[in-house]
Amino acid sequence: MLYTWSLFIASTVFLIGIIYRIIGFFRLNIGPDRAEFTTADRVKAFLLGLLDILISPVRMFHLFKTIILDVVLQLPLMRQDSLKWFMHICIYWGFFGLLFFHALEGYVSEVIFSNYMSTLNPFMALRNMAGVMVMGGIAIAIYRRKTHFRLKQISKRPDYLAIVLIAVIMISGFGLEAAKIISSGVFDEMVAEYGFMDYDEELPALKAVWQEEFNVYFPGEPIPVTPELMELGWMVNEDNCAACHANPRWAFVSYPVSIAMKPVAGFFNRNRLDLLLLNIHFLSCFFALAYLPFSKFRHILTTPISLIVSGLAGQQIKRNENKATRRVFDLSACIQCGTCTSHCAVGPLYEIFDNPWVFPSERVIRIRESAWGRPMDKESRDAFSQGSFLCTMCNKCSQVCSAGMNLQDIWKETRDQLAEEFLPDPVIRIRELCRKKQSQKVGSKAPVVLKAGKNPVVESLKKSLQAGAFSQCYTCLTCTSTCPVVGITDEIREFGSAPHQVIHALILGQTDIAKDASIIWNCLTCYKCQENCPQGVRITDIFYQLRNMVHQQEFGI
Amino acid sequence: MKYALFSGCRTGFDIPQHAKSAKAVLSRLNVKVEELEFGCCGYPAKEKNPDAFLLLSIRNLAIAQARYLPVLTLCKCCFGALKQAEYYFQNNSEKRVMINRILEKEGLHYGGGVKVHHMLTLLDREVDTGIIQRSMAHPLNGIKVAASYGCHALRPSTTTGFDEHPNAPTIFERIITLTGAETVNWSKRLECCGNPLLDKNSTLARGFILNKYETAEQEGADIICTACNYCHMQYEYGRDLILKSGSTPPIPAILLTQLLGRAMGLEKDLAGEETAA
Repeated sequence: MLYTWSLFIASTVFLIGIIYRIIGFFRLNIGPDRAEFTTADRVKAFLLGLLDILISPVRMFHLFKTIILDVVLQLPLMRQDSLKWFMHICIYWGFFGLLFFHALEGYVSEVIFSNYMSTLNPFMALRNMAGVMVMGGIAIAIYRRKTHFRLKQISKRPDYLAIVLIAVIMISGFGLEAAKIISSGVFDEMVAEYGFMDYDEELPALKAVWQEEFNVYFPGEPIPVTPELMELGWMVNEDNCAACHANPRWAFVSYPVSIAMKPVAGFFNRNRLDLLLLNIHFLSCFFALAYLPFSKFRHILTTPISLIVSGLAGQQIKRNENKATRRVFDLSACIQCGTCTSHCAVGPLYEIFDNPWVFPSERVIRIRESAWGRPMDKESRDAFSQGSFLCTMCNKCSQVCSAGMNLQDIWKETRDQLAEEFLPDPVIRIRELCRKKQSQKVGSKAPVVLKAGKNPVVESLKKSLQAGAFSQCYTCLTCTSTCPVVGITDEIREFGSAPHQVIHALILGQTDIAKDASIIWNCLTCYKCQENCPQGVRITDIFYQLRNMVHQQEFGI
Repeated sequence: MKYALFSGCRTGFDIPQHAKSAKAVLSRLNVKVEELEFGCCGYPAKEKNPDAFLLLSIRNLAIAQARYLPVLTLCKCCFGALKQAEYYFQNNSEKRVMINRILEKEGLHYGGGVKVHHMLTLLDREVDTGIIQRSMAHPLNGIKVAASYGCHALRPSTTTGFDEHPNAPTIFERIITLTGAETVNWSKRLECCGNPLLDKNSTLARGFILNKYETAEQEGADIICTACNYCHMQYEYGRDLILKSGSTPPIPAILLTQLLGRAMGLEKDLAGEETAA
């Protein structure tokens, strides 16, 4: 009853979730909202793309090759990190072994193997083997998440929840098998159903064998064993049980567990805790099934597809509609494995900006959440923009992605979108601010005020290595006359001040004039002024420092 | 001698042909390189936060130091950033401690002193000129090349030490003439390409690059030669602008490593794989 209903509910949730995802893949959009393609356009383009593959023998060959090498054998992962590959292969093959030959035994194992019986060999031993693989993989996964300094920074509750859920399924599975081994209740049920014994002494003999050799724990005093009884017991076992029961020692994990359970076996058997474990086992499996479309488990379905797409098309896709679909789809293929983040060219900046959106894997999570209907508040958007524009678009993340995502394309689109939403690169935002300040200043007449003490900005510049020598300037204008920006512009007043005026303003302690001068944001940083300055003033470096100061003023870092 | 090849972020997607042609040329010259897991050189973060710049930059030097290798950059901006970072690192003990404290989290440490080369300084100072000359299977006789120097390697000269005469450098021309090509005396060869303002003030960025093309053509150049990721991208941007406006196509801009590769007869290694997303 519980089994049927929970399976029904879990499958329903799973199906609804999957349908919801599939609709989203063709409906949602990453990047500027151009409303270019309708859902129907995108479905049509997808089907055409699929047809392109199916009708071409060359592409079919590539498809087949990709499935074997990239999906089944996961060779790209092996080239990258052999421990990670081993971990994933263990979980992946172990999981699929258990899924097909154990969970779906009625549809797979029984169909393929005429003599299939879950308690016969090699099935029993292989099931334990698969369980060991998954457990081993999980142990490595936890080890990696806990020891790799970058993975530690990005691992969050859902990552650990997924690991814990698999662990619960595995442990309850082994526990269940062990509990059944020791269970006298299960023994009695089986005897009642399948045992055909002619004489009264046969049952005690069988019990003796199962107690001594198969580790069943019978209530009351242990059955006294004699060689004759055992001999008879083995014969009865051979006639009644052996056709379906291999020696449980072949369950090489569950059997030792059952021995360990011996001290509490009486309690276990009296309360039929094997049934409790059975419930935990299938309920956790069904929970995982229902949770799949909404968690990183969905990668079981999505990542193979994105790997195939990446294997066939690389970073190129012919139809623009399919590019849009791929962007949404790729986000679902990401499992936050952290490979992109640990290879990211600017990842170390997390230590400076304390902004998790410096990390590509974190941005993927946020973009996915936004796409599926969780908008960002203002503060997050600012931080997200900062992280997005620290990215140097080096394409490394796409090259190393173990899910075959085309991240480069996703970054490009999100940056375009940010720019359209007036959240471009912080530097560009500052430029706009400067321009506004400049236009407000024209014509304003402030009353004369005397300088109050030392100016902190000037003092900090004087102490800095880069800018220290600016007071040596004698305003010869060499900087301004060598400046290519000044040279190419018709009206330099547009920039607030010329380079020499910025330096002069600093000498006079008019730091606001220096900081607000938009010339510092229109500087090419070609270092011509600095190279040519007869007084050794490090003009370009000073400009850099002024930029840094304004950046800190506006963004707090 | 072996070098840690620092090809720069932009070769990952925008101009993969730079890394590819560089490797082909270096292997022909018997210069061994190793590709380490470098990050960003720090240049893009420099205008935002000085510590961000220093951390990214020094991290690369620490990675090279861990393998006892000097760094070989292809990009002038990478070269300049690494050189400047080294200078700040050497001269500011406070930052030295701060950066190393962060680097230690990933098991790195920088003690200073890693040598940084640019492709041009390497060919000029580290590789025997005779070997370079002998490797030119198809000399580019009669071709006039305009060398676009790139700012961040050349200046500030006290830190970068790129050429002895920062206001009248000859290093680029010296290498180009080894291919048999001629160089033109181009008034704007030391001028900025405009790329730093590309996203920030496109009017200026456009002005600079169009001016570069125009003046190079006036000097009678057949080709513009670049040795920097950003310059090269800027020339590609300018070329697109000119083509879009319907004017006559400009003279081609090619990378130094492509020029050398062409003279060495390495045609098939010079084009990048197509990566357009």
